[in-house]
Amino acid sequence: MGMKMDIELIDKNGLRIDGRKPEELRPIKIEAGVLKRADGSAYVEWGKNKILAAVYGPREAHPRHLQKSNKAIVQVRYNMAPFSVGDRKRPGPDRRSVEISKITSEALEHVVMTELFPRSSIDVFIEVLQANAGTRCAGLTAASVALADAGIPMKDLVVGVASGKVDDVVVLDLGKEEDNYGQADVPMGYIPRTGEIVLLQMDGDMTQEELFKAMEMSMDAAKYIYGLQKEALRKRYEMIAREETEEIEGVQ
Amino acid sequence: MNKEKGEVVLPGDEIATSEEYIAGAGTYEEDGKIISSQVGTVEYNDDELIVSTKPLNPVVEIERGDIVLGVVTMVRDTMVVIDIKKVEGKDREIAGDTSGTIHVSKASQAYVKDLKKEFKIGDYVRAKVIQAKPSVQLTTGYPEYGVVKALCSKCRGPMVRKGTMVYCPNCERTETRKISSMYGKMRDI
Repeated sequence: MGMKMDIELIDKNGLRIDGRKPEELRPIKIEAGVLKRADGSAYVEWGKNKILAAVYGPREAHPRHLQKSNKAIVQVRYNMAPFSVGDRKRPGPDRRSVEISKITSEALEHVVMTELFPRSSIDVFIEVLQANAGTRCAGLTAASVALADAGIPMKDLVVGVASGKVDDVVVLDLGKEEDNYGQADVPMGYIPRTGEIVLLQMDGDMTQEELFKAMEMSMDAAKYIYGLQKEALRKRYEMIAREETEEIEGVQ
Repeated sequence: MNKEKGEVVLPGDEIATSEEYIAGAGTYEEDGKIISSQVGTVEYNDDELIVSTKPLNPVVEIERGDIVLGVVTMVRDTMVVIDIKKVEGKDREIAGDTSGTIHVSKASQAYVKDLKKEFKIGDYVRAKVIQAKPSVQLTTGYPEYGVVKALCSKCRGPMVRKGTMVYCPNCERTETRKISSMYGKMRDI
């Protein structure tokens, strides 16, 4: 949250700096199964964000002391490429990426049926190729598609979306300028079917009413993104299912 | 509205209701609904009234009857411990515990007096799974199973087959092994 208040984030017509309405998302594109060697993968383009997620496992957890005797662990690595932001990002984990890895892991652990794979580890890699605010939400969205693509049993898909407050207006899906100079940013992890919230953070401050309004906006947007996630998986697997049945019929 | 047989379902998709069916593999029950837990195709068993989903990208777990490839990690008087690296015909990594054991009684068709003469640490072994739970038990009691690549115990170099023995061209040593008929013919190692 920067303090440069001289730029106008919302214009006279109530439109935002990139021309969106307050409750409008940036354009989102999701593709499943983009990496051949990974067990599951997904690619998400969310406005100017470009994010790749890969999933490996369940496989034997290393180091051994991390293993849980009754369930699998979900290990997440969120990483930003050095070229993902304007100034070069110093490579390697930093405080921010360690935090995002932790919260993403906790959000995913809520849906993955970890009790089916004791002593195993499910490894999720989130690589941010290009960042423009809201990467943790886009990363979580990508990771859950990649997990489903890897055939890992899970209760549902998780959607990540952010909302916040800019120039005293509650808006959905903050862009880079809004994130930097706005008043609050509220990323959320949400399961639209059950209404469960698996991740909620707030940077900046807003009143209780504003927070509820922001969360409401995120929930509505999550339903739409959930549809995109399912569409991406369907697109990939309906083709595979068709090929498989054709093969079986061919043998007969 | 129930899903049709063979339809592709995703995690979180409702398939049927619990009044009609029992939740089988790849599904779970919540609030009277049967919901898919994986990407798969729907399968109905109308005799036992079970719905399940067949995964389209299955996780690899060791099952009874699988043929596996692994490396010897320990040799005891009564058993050999194998670290299973691969299930034949499956490209994915194995989920969960990957160690398996071969008991002396299951090591060979013939009577085995000393297991240390049949297996040595570092040997590559092809074996069949005869028990998957609670622990993985393997057998090499058929001609096609046994050591597929042996390492010389002196120089650790690869050994070549010479009749029923293995020979190290480097140290000119001959050693005994429970040799598989596939010795030296496996492409994967």
